[in-house]
Amino acid sequence: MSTDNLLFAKTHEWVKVEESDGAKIATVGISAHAIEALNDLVYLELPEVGKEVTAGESFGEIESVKAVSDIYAPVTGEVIAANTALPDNLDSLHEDAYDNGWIAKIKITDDSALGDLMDLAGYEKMCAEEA
Amino acid sequence: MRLIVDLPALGSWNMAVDEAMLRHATEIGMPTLRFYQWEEPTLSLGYFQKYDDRQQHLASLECPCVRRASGGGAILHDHELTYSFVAPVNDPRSDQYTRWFDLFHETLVEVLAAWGIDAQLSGNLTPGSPSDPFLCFQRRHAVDVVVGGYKICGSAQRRHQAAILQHGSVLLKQSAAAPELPGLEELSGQRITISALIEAWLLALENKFQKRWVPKTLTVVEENSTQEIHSAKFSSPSWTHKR
Repeated sequence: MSTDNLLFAKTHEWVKVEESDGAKIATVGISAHAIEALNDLVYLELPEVGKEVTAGESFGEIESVKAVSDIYAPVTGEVIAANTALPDNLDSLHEDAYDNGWIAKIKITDDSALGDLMDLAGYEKMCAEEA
Repeated sequence: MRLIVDLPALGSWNMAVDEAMLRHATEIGMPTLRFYQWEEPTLSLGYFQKYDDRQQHLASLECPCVRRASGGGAILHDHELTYSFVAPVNDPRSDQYTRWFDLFHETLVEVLAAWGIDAQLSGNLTPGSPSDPFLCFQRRHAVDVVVGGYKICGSAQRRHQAAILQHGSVLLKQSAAAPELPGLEELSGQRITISALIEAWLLALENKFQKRWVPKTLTVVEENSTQEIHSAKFSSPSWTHKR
């Protein structure tokens, strides 16, 4: 997947928004930059399908190097799919954070939070400033 | 920087205090270091561990159990000094995951060296795995502090949007509820008191941070938050048994 058309949250989630049957569907994952910083990944807790999530609030958790971090929903909506193969293949995130590294698909019910997301250039600038 | 030294308390209360500090870190606006102990021998599970896995550790079956918000393996808290440290994520040292581990563990190694105890960082680079041993002190991570091959200090973190919580344990003496784990007393032949360790470690941390620790208590807001978190989360079976 090309990262050119992705949006990024300041909490390091990536988002790909697509239209399907008139609805906006956001595919969400963790950026390659964050995966690299997390290093060894041990556990991932996926959001439940059907769960209503709110932009900016925790909707999953990941453990690495004895640190548990929240994964924040970058958009508001309903979780319609979760990547159930991912928790048993966390090492693959280091090679592929985008295509097979997606965590969940969210049917957007309020797209106002999309305006808070950054494009790739903005996200890379933020990461460079944090380093 | 703020320093809190607490009296021994229930495990669920200790976890609630740490989480209250984490939730209110932005308002406090400075790092907080807290030292504490446990009212009775208590097993704490790492956040992702299964409650039923405690059945495999027979010696601690009668001990109360809490689930931490941080990662890592289970710890039997008995003859130990526990610390928690909360820092904002905008502190440049928070960006690199192991930096705070290094700061605390390297200073502990210095303190023990001054007492003639040959402690070092484990340096073990084996990646973490869900099949790691149940007990934290039987696992090895590169930043763990070991003496004579035995781990005597390990730490774990919970990272929120605005702040990180790191807590860790220094094993001072073997516990009857975890007899497979020797403490500093068995390994060095020295009896190290809690107060002596706090005093020496604080001094080493002040030198490392180049800042003084100011003794304080929780704010009223943190106290109230602790009560709420204790009731709703850490004293609740639904939290402890959630996996």
